[in-house]
Amino acid sequence: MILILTHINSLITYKLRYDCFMTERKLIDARGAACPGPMMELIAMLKLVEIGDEIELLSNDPGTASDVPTWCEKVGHKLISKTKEEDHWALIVCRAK
Amino acid sequence: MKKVLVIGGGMAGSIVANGLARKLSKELNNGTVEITVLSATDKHLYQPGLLYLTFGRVTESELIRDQRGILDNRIKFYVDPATNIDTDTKKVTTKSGKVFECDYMVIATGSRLVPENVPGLSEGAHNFYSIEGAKKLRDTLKTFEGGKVVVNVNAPHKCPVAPIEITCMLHDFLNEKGVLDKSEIIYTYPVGRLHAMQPVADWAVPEFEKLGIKSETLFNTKEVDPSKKTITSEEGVTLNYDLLITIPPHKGQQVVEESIEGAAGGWAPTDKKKLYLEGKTDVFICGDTTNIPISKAGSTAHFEADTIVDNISSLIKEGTIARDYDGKVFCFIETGKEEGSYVWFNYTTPPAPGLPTKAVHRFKLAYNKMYWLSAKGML
Repeated sequence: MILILTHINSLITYKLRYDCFMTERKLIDARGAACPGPMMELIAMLKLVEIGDEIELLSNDPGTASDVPTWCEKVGHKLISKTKEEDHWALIVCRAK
Repeated sequence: MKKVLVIGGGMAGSIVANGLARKLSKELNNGTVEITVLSATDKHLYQPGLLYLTFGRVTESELIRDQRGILDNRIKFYVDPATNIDTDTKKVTTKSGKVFECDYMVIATGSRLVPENVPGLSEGAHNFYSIEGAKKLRDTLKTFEGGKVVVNVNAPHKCPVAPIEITCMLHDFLNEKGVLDKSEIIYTYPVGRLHAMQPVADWAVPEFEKLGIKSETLFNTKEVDPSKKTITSEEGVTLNYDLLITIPPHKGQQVVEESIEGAAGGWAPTDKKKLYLEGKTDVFICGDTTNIPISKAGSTAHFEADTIVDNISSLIKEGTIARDYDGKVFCFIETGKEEGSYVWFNYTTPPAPGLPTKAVHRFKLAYNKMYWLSAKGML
């Protein structure tokens, strides 16, 4: 019972924090694209998805990996995660407005 | 007979065609090789010169020559742009309805400006990326009495350092005109620094500070209101301007986008070393048309063209490819006050621009004159 309540609490916290609950996730594979191409693709895609939808951006450009979190903070979208894989970064962004 | 078809008569296409004519001279003369160039225009424009035309340092006539005169006279040349490119059958259909077949194809169709992709940008902004644009900006600058100038950069674009160059040269121009004290220059860039390449961005910071140039980074252009003279970013920043100079977004040619699978944005998927169209060994991509993640620059086109010349001539003569393209790019950077720097890099060596000097600036001016030797495949 405690475990169930903890899980529900985590889900609620996730929703309140990110407003990205039960969303659709799109993928942009921008590996091999030069900066600022990957971020521009992300910006273009964000205009097409609904508020609450997520986009996963794959990029092996280090500039993109540092730009996207800064840009999200500036614009007000949510950076859900940034993960360093073997040869690229995977960034998940949620459209928040 | 082996037929080589070059689609595009700009810098890349001209250097490839002329280089092949030199390497395969004997074969051209005895009729075992035929080289054909297709172009959308009968003129050849030296594009880097547009920066100088903007400030009245060169005339239009110095930047343009007849394409027929640029090409070796044994090369067949048609002003007949491609409307469909079939890389499986190696057949190209042109605007006049002709069909050209070949054994080796080089697609060097370049890039085009698409300011219309940003609402209000075409109406509200000047750009110096075309003869008409550079002349219009030149004429506007002649009567500009000072004010707020926004230099707005959109991506992707060719000539990677041109936005920095126009900004520095504009500072000089306004100073010489005596209106610098009544002016403010703001440079906008889409990512969080002054240039996509970190070393160039780091180099530009003190250069801009010296000149008092302001910047607004993380500025992705959303729209321009020509009546209010404002430019607004996706990030919610609105700048007023008295004069707006834009480096507009670019795309590859429509025929590439429509004909070639995977050519998103008109950039053909290209093997970054062999310069093959991906999946092919007899179709090459050269210049702006590639989707290789390096700068779209004249030097890139030149170095790629040299590689393709060596490879096609080797394939024809010996049935084997000669060498890889190493990713080399070399760009001069005009920094104002009659000084310049340069930056070069390749796939393994990052860029490291140096301090500006008068010597480099003078060398750039000299190269502007020598370019025609490059286009003819001689330099």
